Amino acid sequence: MPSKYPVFFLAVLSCLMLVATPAMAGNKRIMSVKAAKVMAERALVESVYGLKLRAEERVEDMVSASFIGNTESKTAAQIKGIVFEEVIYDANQDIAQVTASVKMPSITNIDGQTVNLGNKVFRRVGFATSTPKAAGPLKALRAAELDAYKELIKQLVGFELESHTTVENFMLTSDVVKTKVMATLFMAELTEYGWTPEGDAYVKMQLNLKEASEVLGQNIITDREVIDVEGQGAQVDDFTAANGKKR
Amino acid sequence: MPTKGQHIVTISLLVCAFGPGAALATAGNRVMIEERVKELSELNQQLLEQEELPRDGKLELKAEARYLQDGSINLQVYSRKFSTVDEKPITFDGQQTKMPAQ
Repeated sequence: MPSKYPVFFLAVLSCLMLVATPAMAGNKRIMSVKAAKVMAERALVESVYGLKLRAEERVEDMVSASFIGNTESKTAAQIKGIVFEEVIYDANQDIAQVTASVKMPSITNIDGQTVNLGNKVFRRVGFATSTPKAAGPLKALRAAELDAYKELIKQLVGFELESHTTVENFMLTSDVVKTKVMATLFMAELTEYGWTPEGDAYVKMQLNLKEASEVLGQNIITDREVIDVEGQGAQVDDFTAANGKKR
Repeated sequence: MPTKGQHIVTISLLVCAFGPGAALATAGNRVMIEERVKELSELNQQLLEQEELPRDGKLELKAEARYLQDGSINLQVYSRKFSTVDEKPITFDGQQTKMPAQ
């Protein structure tokens, strides 16, 4: 009787290996973590070096169906000394989360100004997935990030408002409103982020003007010390669906 | 008569439809856009209140918007284009008009 046990044990072990191997193998995890690291690096570059942002909004006759809004950002820099503090991978959703930080004595920012950062620690978070179906919340978060950057710029330097109004016989016949924002921004700090129970993302950002003035060595003319904003991003386009439009 | 099992299935389906499913239905960018359009409408109203609207014609305004400490927005108009049509009789009998010297 005891001689049967090793055979049974080997059979069970073989079955377990057959089942377990496909679950462990594959490059999804590595790809997602790598991508999340890149996302965190980009976020740090946007905070420390800065980014260029261009945004436009247009609405006709105050009908939301006519609303068009787009925001574009661009940045490119080489930063040394980025540390990945925390790497989390959710195997069920195939989503990686990476927290990265950097501490630098100085940097030549996006505007070409060499600024003394005094070894201030900048910390940002990046998310990524290699499964397109799981990207919804992550895309919403990025949209919220860009919305927050735009809000910071609007609060800091303002924006351009254009209004085209046509009146006939005291009756408003056409009304077009446009807003434009184009500026560079740096030293924006992420203070909070998350998702609502409905799945929309939010990002809270802060710009410490007092600190920015000290770093730049010049006064930023404003009556506030700190600008706090909140950006929003959606993962479901129910606007286009409701208006039956294709973009 | 429906059995107890059928009741459970019906209740489960209802919970699925009005529970998490209903929450997802309210997510999306529609509310965000509607709020933004409302804000833009108020901003445009503020701009137009600063200017005199023509009875007939087109008014094109460009303004620089800056946030004030109290959260309100100050609009500084830097470009005005105004095209109106003057309504007055045009006479042809014996009408001789000399164009102003260039």
